[in-house]
Formats: sequence, structure tokens, C-alpha cells
Amino acid sequence: MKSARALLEIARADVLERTRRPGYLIILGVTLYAAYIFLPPNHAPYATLQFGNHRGVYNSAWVGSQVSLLASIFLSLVGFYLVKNAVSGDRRSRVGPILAGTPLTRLDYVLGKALANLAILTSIVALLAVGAAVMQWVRGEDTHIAPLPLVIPFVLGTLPVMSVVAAVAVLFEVVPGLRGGGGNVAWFIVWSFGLAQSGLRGASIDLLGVTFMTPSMIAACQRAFPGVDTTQMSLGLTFKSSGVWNLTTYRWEGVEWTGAMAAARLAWLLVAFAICLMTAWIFDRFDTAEVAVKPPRRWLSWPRPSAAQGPAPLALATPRLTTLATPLDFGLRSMTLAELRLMLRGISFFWFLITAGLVLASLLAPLPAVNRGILPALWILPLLIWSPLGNRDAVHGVEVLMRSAPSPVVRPLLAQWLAGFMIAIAVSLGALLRWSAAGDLGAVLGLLAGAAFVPALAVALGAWSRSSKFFEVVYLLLWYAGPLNRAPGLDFTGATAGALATSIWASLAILCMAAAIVARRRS
Amino acid sequence: MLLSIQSVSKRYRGDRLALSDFSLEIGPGVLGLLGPNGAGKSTLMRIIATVTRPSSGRVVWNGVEAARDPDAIRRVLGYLPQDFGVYPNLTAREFLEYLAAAKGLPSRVARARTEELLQLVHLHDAAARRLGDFSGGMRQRVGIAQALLNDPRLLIVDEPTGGLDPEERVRFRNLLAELAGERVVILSTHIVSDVEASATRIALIASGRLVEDATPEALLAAAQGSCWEWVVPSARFDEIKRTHLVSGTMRRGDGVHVRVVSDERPSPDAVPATPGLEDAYLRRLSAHRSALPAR
Repeated sequence: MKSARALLEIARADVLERTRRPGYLIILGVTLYAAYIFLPPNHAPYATLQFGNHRGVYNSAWVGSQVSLLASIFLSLVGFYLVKNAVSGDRRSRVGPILAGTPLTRLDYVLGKALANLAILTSIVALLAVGAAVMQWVRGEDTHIAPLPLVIPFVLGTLPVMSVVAAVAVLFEVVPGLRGGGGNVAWFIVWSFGLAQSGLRGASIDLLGVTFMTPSMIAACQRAFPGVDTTQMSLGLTFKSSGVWNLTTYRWEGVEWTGAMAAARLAWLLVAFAICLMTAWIFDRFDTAEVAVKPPRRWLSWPRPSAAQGPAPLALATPRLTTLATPLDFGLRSMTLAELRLMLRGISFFWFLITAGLVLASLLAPLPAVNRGILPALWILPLLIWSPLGNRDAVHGVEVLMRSAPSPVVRPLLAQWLAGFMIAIAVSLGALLRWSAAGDLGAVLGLLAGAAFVPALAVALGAWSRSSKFFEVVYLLLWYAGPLNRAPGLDFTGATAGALATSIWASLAILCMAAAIVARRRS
Repeated sequence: MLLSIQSVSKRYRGDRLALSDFSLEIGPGVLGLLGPNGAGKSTLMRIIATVTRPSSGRVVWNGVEAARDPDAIRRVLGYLPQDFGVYPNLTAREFLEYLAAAKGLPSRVARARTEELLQLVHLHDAAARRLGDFSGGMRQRVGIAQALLNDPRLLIVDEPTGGLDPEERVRFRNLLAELAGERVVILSTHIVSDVEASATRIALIASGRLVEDATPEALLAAAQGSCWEWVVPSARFDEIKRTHLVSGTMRRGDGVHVRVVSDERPSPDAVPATPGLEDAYLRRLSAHRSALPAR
């Protein structure tokens, strides 16, 4: 009983703390917009759930199921990043060590944080359900709002997904290698190559609940349009290459949920609980003394003479501080070098090894392989080097020291951008040399524009969000769509660039830097 | 060298007034800015350091208004905030070199200056250790070192001795006294002994207002005849605490020896005592609070 109260208090405090931030209101606004996006009108350039050229009439059953499925897909990614700050918040605010000094058990703490995550995600899902009802009425294909068929898909479809996401987010915050950007990348990989695909491919482990809803949708479609090919199902934002969709509709009255089906869905709550048990077992309870103290990497440091060790005598006298006669230098060179050193500090030797290997490969491999495989790989490697740009000082509380130095806005931001640009150029060196040798000026300019854009995006998103996470998520999505999957107009590596794309990326770089400067001046 | 603070006010969100019409002229020497928690000391320090903008009023350094040309102050400023962070993966040496670049020190000069300051704050042996492994006191010494990187003419230190051990605390006070001759030093604290050791002038701040601006000698002189020592039975001690301004206590075999600040003899048994700066501070603060309108 005492334990349950502690757990609920942890969850309550966490929910209050996080929902009182201005960002939460923005999230709620975006949620309502998502409800609008998830239910496009019939002749929109994109569709969100269809079988061939058919979809269900927007009645409560279809609307609830469609929006809940889309919520499961998108919130399992975005929601994860949204709530993956419960434990780190306690580390940063130094509340964690205070809690560690109380009788609170590790399991209570972990369950409390997971519960808080679930509460926040549930509030978003609930708003989405309300938004779905409004949108059903707005679209007007069937204006009768039936509460149960509308809400049950959210309860049995989306909430079990959210419980797992809530628990996994805490797990990632507790495992040392997954706490930061590494965990963000890892979850993106899990999501994009596993989770989001699982239900669509009819996998036996269907967290998203797709296989619970689609069979009856398909059956209804086949009844309405005998002989229709329903294997061409698409779920998500599917844009038509040209023109608008013209989907024919049919009636579907919802899933007939059985006890077994509901139990199968609710079993995911047990999975979430099991993840919490594992997390509690791993959790260090804010005991940083357990972390091994690593000596600094000498190969990145200036060479220094070693200091003599031994107990120092009590010395209360103060040596006189010499005066500084040298004129100060507020050029970009020294600041950029300092930023570059800061960016590369703590980067693993293997990162340099892999990067150097890929750069070498990009010099030697056939050009199509460089453009399609090696270059995209090289552009994802610096993700965690770029992501602290624009926010590192805020995250570590160094902002107040930087702000009292001369030119505290433009000079550091430009230096950070320049250091990020140099990283982009360094990883692209092989492709740049190859394209230059082949006389492909368009590709070279395209790459330079991309190299200007990416660190500028990092600086802008970092300065506005005061966190590295926003850039990590946006860049991963952009990289996945552009350099990796060649979505039209989104490849910023120069490999498929035209003059228009080059000028757009370059213009965006300038816009991003301007936005970063505005953000810094405002904060 | 003259720092002029002219009618500065700062209003935060929720209409909370942190500073109200605060004016002060500060020349070379150590000014001790003394006040209770929440008095507005840190807000004032942040405004002078150009980190926060005042809601009204202006800060002028050698004739140049900070709002018009903040870099004029920043170029000569050394600022140790009350609360600051570090990059945990950098060593003390790397962190100082990074901040030296931000402060415009050429790299060769920055390296030499960093070594000198690491010696000064007794961190030379730990210079190659990651800041993430530093204790609170060691981090505070890194903060002191960074404030001195650019040989500042204007040095602002906000609660600088928090976390320092007694030896380092004494060294820091000595350092401030050493630096004071040729610069404007503002030492903001609620620890009277820090001010007592190094300040040549004291500004008392409470409820965002300047309550007193005087030399330590003048403050002490004003408190003459207002400090008493008195031995009371243990059973009466709680009552004495409630009814008098007690600035010190010591339990002895004959009862509790209390030190009371009062303009009148608190009891026929009380004997006059020589006031210290803490007594003078409490007396002035108490008078200020009594003068405030009742809520």
C-alpha cells in the first residue's frame, strides 16, 4: 500500500512537471492537427488507410480504427522521443540523488516513471480520439458519433502500444549506452525496420494491433467489391505521385471484439510490466560512483608534462596573477577550432576508424555504389556529433558563462556551424574528390549545400528546443527519406541534386542560421 | 574605472519585482553585496554581467551604457555565476581553453593563462581529469579560474565560496583582496564572514532595494551600543529567541550565552558587547524589515 502510494506520487509529480512545460501545449496542438491530417477528404493528394482504391466510409468504427492505427504507428516513434526524459530530468534537476536517499525501491521508481510516461501518452491519445470524433463530423460522410466503436480501438489498439513505449523509454534512459543520442538512433532503427512493418507484413508479434482490425476491413471490402485485390493495403501517409486520390468507399461497422482478442491486446501491459522489472534490475539508482572513471583520451588532448603527485602543503598565500597584455581576438578561427575539439571530444576511436574506412571506400568503390550506399552511410555517422550543436551549452548549464563573454550569440553559433560543416565535408571528402575529378560540378555544389544545411538545421533546432533530441529525430527521418530512400527532392548529399535542390538547401541553411540567431537572442 | 548602476528595476513574469529602483556607483576595490536569500543579489549580478536585461534603468561602465554596447562590459568582465555547469567530458584544462577562446584569448596566450590559473586555484594536479569526476568544490575553483581568464577589470563573483573547503575559502578571500587594487570587484554573498575578510565597502540589499551603502567601519560604528551578551537559563531560551534578535548562542554550564542585537538593553542582566559585522548586518536588516508596511 505504502509502495503503491510512493509509485503514484512519483508518477503524479512527473506528470505535473512535464505537462506544465510550454512544450506540452504545443504537443497538444500538434495532436489536434494530426487528427485533421489522419482523416483526409476523399480527393486529397494523400491517403492514410486504403485497400487498393477503396476505403471505409468515415463512420465512428472506421474513424476510430484508422486514427488509432495511425496513432499507434506514429506515436510509437514520436511518443517515445517525447517521454524519454523522465529519468534524465531527475538527473539534470538533481532530484534523482535526493530520491535515491529515500526508502523508495527501484521498482517503484521505474514503475512510477513508466506510469507517468503512459499518462502523458494517454492524454495525447485521448485528445486524438476527441479530434477523431470532431473530424468524423467535419468530413460528414456519416455524422452519427457512436462512442464505443470510436473509442474501443484506441483503448484496445493504441493504449497497449503506448504502455510498451512508456516502459521501453524508461529502459532506454537507464541503460548507459542508450540514454543519449545512441538510444534515439537505436529506437529509430527498431521502429523503422521492425515495429512499423510488423503488422503490415502479418508478423506473429503484432504490437500495433494491425492484424486485429484489418481482416474484417478487408472482408467488408471484398463483400462490397467482389474480386477486388486487397493485398495492396497502405497504412500511413501515402502520397499520390500526381493528382489526387479518388477512393471509392464501403461500409464497415467495426471489429467484433471477443474476450480472447481483448486479452491478447491487454497482454502487452504484462510485457510492459516485464520491461519495467528488467529496467528496475538494471537501474543504478543514480549511483554515479559505479561508473568507471575513464582517463581522458590523450590523442585528442594537447601534450602536457605530467604533474608531480603527493600531498600539497597548506598554502594560504596567493600567487600574484600576471596581467594580460595581449589584444583579444574575436575572429572565428579560434572559436571554430575550440568547437571542433569540443565536438570530437569523447568520440570513440572506432568511429574514426569506421569513418576513415568508408571515406577510403568512397575513393575506391564504383561511383554508383558510393552515391547509393557509402555516402548515405557516411552522412548518418556524424549524427551524434551534429546533434549537440546549438544546445550543448544550455544542456550542460554553461550558457550563463558563454553569455557573459563578448559576442555571445552570432560568433559561437557561426563557429558551431562552421565546425559542423567541416565534419560534413570531411566525411564526404571521397565523393567530393570523385565528383570533382569527373567534372560533376552540380553534384559538388549540391553536396556543399547539403553540408551547409545539415549543421545549420542542427544549430537551429538545438537553439530553439535547447535539446539535441529534436534534431536527432528530424534528421533521422530526413536521412531515411532522402539519402537512403531517394525520396524526390529530399536527398541533401548531392548524389541526386539538381540546381533547384542545391539552391533550396543553401537557402534553408541561411534560414536555419537566421532562426538560430533569433532563438538565441530571445532566450 | 567606474560602474554606475542607475535606477535599475527587474520585474519577472507573474509581476514579481526582483529589483526596485536600485542605484549604486562602484569604483576600484571590493564591494561586498550582502543580503538575505531572495534579496535580488543574483538578479543584480546577472544584469551587470549583461546576462539579463533590466526592465528599466541602466548600467554604465566607464561612460558606456551596457544595453547599447554590452560587449564593452563583456570584454573586461570576469563573471562567476552562483549556478553554472561544465562540460563533463572535458578536462579542467580543456574547458578553460574552450572558454578562453570564447573570451577572445589567442590560443597561445590561452594555454599559458590556463596553466597559470590552474596553479592559482590549486587544480594543476587535477587538470587532466574529466570535469564530470570533479567534486563541487573543485568545480567551483574551475569557475573561479574561468572568471579570471581575460584578466578582468570588472570581476563579479556570486556566492563564490559555496562548496570550498576552509583552506580554499581563505585562499579565495586573499585572492580577492589581492585583485582588488586595480579592478572593480563585486562580491555577492549572504555569508558575512566572506565580506568581512575582503570588502572595502558594503552594500546591503533586501527585497530588491538598496538598504545601506557604507564602509564596514561605518556599519560597525552605527551598531555600537546595540549588541549585548546575556546568560539565560536553558528553559527561557526559546522565549528569548522569539522575542529578541539573537545573533549567536553558546551552551555552557551556567546556561545559554546569547548574543542579542537590540538598540535597548534587553535585560538588566545583559552586558554590552563589541558588535561584529554580522551583528551590524542583522541590526540594519531588522530595521529595514520593521520599516516595511505590514502585509
